[in-house]
Amino acid sequence: MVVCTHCNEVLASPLACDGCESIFEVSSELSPFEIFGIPISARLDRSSLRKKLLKLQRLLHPDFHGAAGVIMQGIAEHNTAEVNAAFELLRDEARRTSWIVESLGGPSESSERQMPQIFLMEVMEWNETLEELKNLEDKAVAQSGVTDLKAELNVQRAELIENTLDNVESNLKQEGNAPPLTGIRHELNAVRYIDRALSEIASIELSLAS
Amino acid sequence: MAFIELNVLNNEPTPVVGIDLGTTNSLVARYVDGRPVILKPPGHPGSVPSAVYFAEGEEPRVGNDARNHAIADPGNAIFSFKRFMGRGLSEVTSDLSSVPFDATENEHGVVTFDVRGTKYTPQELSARVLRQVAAVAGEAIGSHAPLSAVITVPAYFDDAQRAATRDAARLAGIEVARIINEPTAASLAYGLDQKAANEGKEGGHTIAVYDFGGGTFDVSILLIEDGVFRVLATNGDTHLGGDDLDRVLVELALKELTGKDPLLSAEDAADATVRQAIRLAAEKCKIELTNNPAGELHVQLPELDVHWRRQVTREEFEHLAKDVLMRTLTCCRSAISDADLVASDIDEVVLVGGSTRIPAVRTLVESFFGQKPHTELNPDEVVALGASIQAHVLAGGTRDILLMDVTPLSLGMETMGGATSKVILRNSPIPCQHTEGFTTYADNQSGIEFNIVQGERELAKDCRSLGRFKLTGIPAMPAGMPKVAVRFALDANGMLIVTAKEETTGNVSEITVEPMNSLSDEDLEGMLMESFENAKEDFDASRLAGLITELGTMLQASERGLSNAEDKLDPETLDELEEAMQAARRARDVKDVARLKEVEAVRDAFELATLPLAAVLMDAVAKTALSGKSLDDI
Repeated sequence: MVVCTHCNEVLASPLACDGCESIFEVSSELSPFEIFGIPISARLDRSSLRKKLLKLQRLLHPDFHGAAGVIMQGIAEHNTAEVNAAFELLRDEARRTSWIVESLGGPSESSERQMPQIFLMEVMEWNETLEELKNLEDKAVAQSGVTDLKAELNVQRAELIENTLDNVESNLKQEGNAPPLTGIRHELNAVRYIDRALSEIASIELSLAS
Repeated sequence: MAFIELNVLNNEPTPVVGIDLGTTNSLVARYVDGRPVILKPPGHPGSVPSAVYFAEGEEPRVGNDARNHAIADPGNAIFSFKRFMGRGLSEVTSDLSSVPFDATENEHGVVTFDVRGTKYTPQELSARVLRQVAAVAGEAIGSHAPLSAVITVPAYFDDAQRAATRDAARLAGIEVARIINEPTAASLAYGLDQKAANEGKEGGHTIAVYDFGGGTFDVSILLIEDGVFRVLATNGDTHLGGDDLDRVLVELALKELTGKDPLLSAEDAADATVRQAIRLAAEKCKIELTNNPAGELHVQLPELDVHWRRQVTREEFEHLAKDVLMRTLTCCRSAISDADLVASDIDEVVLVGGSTRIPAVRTLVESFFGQKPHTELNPDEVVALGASIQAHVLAGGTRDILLMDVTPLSLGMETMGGATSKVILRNSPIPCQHTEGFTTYADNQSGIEFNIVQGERELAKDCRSLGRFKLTGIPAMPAGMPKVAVRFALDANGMLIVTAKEETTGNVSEITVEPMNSLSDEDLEGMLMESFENAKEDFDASRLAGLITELGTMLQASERGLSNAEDKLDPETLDELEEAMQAARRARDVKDVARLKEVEAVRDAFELATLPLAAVLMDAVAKTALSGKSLDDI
């Protein structure tokens, strides 16, 4: 339990004190979970995460430290940037679980790239479909094809995410039958393939709409 | 009348205002008595046209006066310079084709306008407008203390354009409290945080701001929750505005004037004066079309004996403008998609910018979002009003509101082979930072150069370079040994700050980072010195205007006073006063700023001469007030 050096209040985040509104310069590198003052967990409640972001930014944001000296303004700006980056990671389920996998000693995104043959076949199939849809003359047909593929990928993504969240949780709880981290990395890699296809779909949709 | 003034000048706080530095008009607002108001001195519309006119042998004129010279003397009246802020010559060829003046480039790659033998950067011209805006603010507030201001820029402005805006403010002697995005400012002005709080929707209130101005288009998607305005995504086009709608009408006119049985030769049609006349006719027609089912495109070129009229119906105009309007929707779709939303998720839509007065724009927005947009506030004023609310927050006036904005463009570094490696993605919340490690390739290498780019394209050459940065002062070490950590940070203004430190030796101070292609500090200093000289003239001009207004007020009061108390003054005092009044009447006609001291002396003498009258009147007031009361009652 870390307490505020000014008012002895228990700190909800090492960056600022809720009680006396002091802000602190932190020299060591903090994890996104530490910045938000929450235990490492794969499942986070979106709404409370957002509320926490707003609360921290109300304490830290440079807008509220205009009258402070240059040094304090610098700390405010630095801390705000840290909170922003932490929020961007925590709100994204795939990035959040990826971070946990690495922190548990699992393979990183760049070190474990192999994917099952069968999955790669599937990826090639979407890519072919996307290429065909892009070149279709009939916009309505293209749009309906894109919508179908998008729905299919979204279902697959949701299943993968649910699975990784469960598997990471069971690793965090050190359950006996917890699945290996390499397997979770493969699932996360699959999510990245899907996300790449989805962003391609988004750009096709934009060009179809205009 | 003798005024009793409190001496507050010495500890007067710097007024903090919001300034909308627009392509066509600029405005200033201030938060007063719990609400934002546009600052308008008596008899002044408040808005200052963003134009500067250079008359032969005279001081440059700014605002309305300058705009009125745009037709008669094209080439010497410069406007729309916001489009050129932070740009190089090669980036503005299309902008130059639509204005009747020409531009070159200075040795730092900054666009300059050559007028009557002198080169002016867009920063300097904007500074002139800002000084006029500051004078308007000073007049309305009744104080000429230096201003601190929140200045707005299009959300899609990149680092160079923001830096140019900041430099313009510095040249104008205005302290920049913050640079904020126009659509975000507009969202503040509508007070939608109150509405969001009242409705208390789970997950917050989502709003879209559709900002279609004179020269730029922006759309921002925001989430309002607990008084925090958090931008989720922004998109836009810094080359899409009302000017493009004028252009479709200009093209129509040119096509018909130079087409079959031409009234105008191709050579004449390329003439700057002719172009400007047609452009103004197009603008006039566009405005007519906003209020009427049809407008008249009326081109008059007496020297060429051209008197051409043509009816344009709304239907025809909308057909011609379709492509331009559709481009705004493309931006909207991207922003909504980046925010992970669909159009029907948007709870509220806000319209900003003069071009949103056009009925076709309103219909388009309504059908795209499936709801009636907010139009209650004047679309020309909403940005300045919102900026003044942010100014109020920054001055410590309230903690109920917080703006959290994003960067519109990704920030990247050029890698080997000319590709871009993105270090901060577009729509990342600001402030944000990223640290990248560098090392040396040769033994005892003391410097490293790198190119920072902004944009979404894959190749660095297709993005906009923010300049080649050079790290110098790396301690002598074998190749690959130094570990230089370079921190790229976007501050709350959305502007880049690069710092570096060598980690093996912990040497921070000796490594310097310099952008290689921008206005140098010496340049800025030179301009600043010059602007101080100009600032004095501007200050004197506004002081003179203030004195003349004051003389008018004093004259009125004295005339009224005399009609009540003339008989109570001795003849000598009366003569002195009447003489002073005569002098004041004459001084009111003074136009020459050089005679400021003289007018000041007249005012001071007038004030002295009114003292006996003031005493008589005070006496009368006291007698009336006290009559019939005993000493105990007082």
